[in-house]
Amino acid sequence: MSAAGTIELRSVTKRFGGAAVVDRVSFTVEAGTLVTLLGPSGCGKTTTLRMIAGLETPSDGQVLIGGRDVTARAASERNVSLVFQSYALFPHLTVLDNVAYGPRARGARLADAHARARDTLALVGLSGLEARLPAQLSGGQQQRVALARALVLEPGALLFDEPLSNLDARLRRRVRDEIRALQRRLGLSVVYVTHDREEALAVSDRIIVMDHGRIVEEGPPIELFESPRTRFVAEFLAEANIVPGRLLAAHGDGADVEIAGHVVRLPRCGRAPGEVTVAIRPDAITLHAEGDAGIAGRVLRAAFVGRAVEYAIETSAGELLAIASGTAFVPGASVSLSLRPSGIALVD
Amino acid sequence: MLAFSALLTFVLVLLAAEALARRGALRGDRFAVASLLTIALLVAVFVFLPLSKVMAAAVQGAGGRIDLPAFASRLTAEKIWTLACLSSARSCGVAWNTLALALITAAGTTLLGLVLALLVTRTALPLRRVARLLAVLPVITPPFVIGLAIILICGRSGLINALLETWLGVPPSRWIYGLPGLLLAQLFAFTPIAFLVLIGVVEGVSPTLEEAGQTLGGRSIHVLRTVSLPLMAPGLANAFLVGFVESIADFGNPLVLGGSFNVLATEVYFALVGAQYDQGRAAALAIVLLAMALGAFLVQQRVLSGRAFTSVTGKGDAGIPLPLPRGLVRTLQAVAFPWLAFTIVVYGMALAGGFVAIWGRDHSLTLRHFVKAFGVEWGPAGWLWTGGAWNSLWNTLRLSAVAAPLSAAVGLLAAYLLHRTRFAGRRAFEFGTLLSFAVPGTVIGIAYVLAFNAPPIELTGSGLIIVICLVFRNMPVGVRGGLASLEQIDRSLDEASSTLGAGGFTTVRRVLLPLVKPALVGALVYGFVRSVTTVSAVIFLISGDTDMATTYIIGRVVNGDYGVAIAYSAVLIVLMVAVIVVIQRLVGVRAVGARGAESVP
Repeated sequence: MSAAGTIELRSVTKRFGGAAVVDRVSFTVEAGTLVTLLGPSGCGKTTTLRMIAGLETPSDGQVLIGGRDVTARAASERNVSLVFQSYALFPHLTVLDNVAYGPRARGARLADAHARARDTLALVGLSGLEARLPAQLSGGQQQRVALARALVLEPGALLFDEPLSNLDARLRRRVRDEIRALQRRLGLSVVYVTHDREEALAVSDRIIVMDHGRIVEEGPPIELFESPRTRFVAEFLAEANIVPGRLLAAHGDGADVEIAGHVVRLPRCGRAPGEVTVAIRPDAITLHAEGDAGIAGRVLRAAFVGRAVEYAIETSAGELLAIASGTAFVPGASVSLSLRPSGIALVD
Repeated sequence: MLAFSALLTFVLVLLAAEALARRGALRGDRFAVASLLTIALLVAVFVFLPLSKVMAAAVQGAGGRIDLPAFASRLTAEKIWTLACLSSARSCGVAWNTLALALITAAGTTLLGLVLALLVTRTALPLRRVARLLAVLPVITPPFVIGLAIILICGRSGLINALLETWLGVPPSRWIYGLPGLLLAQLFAFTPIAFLVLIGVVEGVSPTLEEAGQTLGGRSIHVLRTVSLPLMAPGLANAFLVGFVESIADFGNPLVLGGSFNVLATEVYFALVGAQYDQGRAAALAIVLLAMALGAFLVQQRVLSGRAFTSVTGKGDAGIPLPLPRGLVRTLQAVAFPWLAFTIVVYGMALAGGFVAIWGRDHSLTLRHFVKAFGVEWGPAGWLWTGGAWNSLWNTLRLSAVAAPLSAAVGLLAAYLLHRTRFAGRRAFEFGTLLSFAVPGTVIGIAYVLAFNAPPIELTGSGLIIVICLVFRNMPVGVRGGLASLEQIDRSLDEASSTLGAGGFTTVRRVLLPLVKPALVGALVYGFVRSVTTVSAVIFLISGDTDMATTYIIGRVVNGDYGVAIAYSAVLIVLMVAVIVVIQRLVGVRAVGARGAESVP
């Protein structure tokens, strides 16, 4: 794991027309780590990825790969590989020729290129399919060919543009885990773009959450999930309910916070008493029969999703989303809610 | 001396390209920058420079100085713009005639080309190969032949009039001359070009998208109308544009069949060649013509801008093309079969005429016309080419074989630059590549004489000037066909190639070129064929050494030697069919792995 795999963006901006699609974005990808750019459609994550690849030129700022400034370099002269969302396999070339394309483009002899291609295809589990054309493969197989094509060049860094979005749900988990295992085994630096929170949480060493062209927060998955600092991240990453609250008093590290008439002791704080914004994760809410001590509420909708039930509950603090297993409450039932402090965070 | 300075210029261009690429131009793609500079330079020297000489001639007065009032009066002459034909029996201005003819021709050729393209690619027509060939034949016919064949069939002493007289007692008339005959000839001549452009487009429409339309409840006709046709819109627009511009620049057909229906192209010719020799007037007419072409170009840009038509994506499209509904197929066939039948008749006329002693008077069969043109004897020193036509034939083949690949290469390269890269001045660049298409051949011919008759670039009288003229005249079809084909190849394929380390040249060679093969074939075929059959551009550029086939034929016609003229035309047609077959075999059809209808069990 040399410094060759590090990627650094310094205040990179991209403007289309007058609008800044990417606005002064700076971050570093350490060698051998997998960093995910996560955000809703249009937040600028794909444009950022394309600027790392060299397919777009930044309006401002610098892109450094392996410590060298590549901002003005063409895509063909950078040592990064990109796996496209649509795979972009060359329809007129066989699987083997597709994977061998990169080495041949960089001057390898045909026999060498084919040998390397075969090895990489074996690595992704596609041996035996070398002579097929892309149109004759399934979606999952095409995706692996795209992956092999990127890997065969042994790039300093690998870029993924929403690689699982075209796969069926069954395949997604498997391919996701394979990508992560491969990344760890080969010690690759990876920048991964997705809008799927579960995917991001599962594969990343670090997540960078973006919105409207700017970085909102970044950090390890657990930290962002359990202790978000902004409302946006709490909602987007953890589907948290945002409710108003009041910080009553601080006790050492922790604090008493009043939410909808109910007082909870939170383990961490760092704020002064007064009005605060509280993010409550759906899994932090437990439903009890009416009458028990807790926040009063009424079930509006209940959806059974297999391993849990998703509830929409009307309370004095607004409509809350709760995900709970166990006894199913029917719509219209009056319930009493208790909150688990470890699932609550104070956000901006 | 000339070669040395050309080489030096080229080296300077390469150095400039390297410098610009380093600074980030065109995303650092050295190949693209070099191509752009080279083509821009060539277009500037061999398209803009000669035309500017013509413009200069238009604004010059008697003493060689700039005379603006004379220029203004030339431009607004009554003969160009009058609308008298709407209210009286006199003819309208040439500009209106040209416009009306061009619009009808463009619409007609696009429609017919689409009909033929759909039939050939989407139905299980047993005569697919034959239909393809027949649809393409009119392209390879020298312009003179189509007009003559139509006169043989529909002219005053032609077959139809003779039949009408015998059966119905209708006296023969000259009804074919003027707009009807011109329209017929142009439809016949230009539909194949629309067909060549649309073949690549129809084949590239993604079957998956049509299947999506069907599953959303659309009947075949509805899907065709709302999914397939809009996807083909760039190709249709391109074909329309090509038909329009071909019509306004057409010279041979109006010369033969125009009658009293005057169009701009022939007016330019008469202004230069006739007793008038009025350079100023000819140049002014050329400006009007250019304005029409420019108008067509702008209209096309408005219609096409901002729509996505990607059909050849990297996801291995495995659908089966939508079979056409039966009613539609019958309609298409009802249109196409008479058309193809007429093609056969015309060619029958053209080929048979060479064996007839004197058409209209002595219908005995003879071979003497062929002998006169292509006689060969075995003499003491080897083969003796005694026929009068050999010299012009060798010249034509030699120069066309050089010009065709060059014009295809330049055209497709320009299409790549226009479509796949972004740079300032794209509109101007595209207009530059279109320009030589729109200007009538006679004006190009005169422009080249004016520009290259004297130093610094002195080329007249050589084969080189003919080659250059042919290359830049035929380049636009490579551009148009290339653009229509590239429209359907997803940009992510370029980007994938780029991120895998391939520079611009490798991407073009290994990814784009194989996928635009229909456009490549079209450009090669068209380039070669047009070079062989062109008359109006080269008639001013030939010399004793470089006589061309078409000008030789016209010379025979002027002398009244119709037999030899038709015989020579027949030989040319046969020769070009052979060449086309060879080119199609060599380049082949693109392999994208789509399933055919036959492979479904």
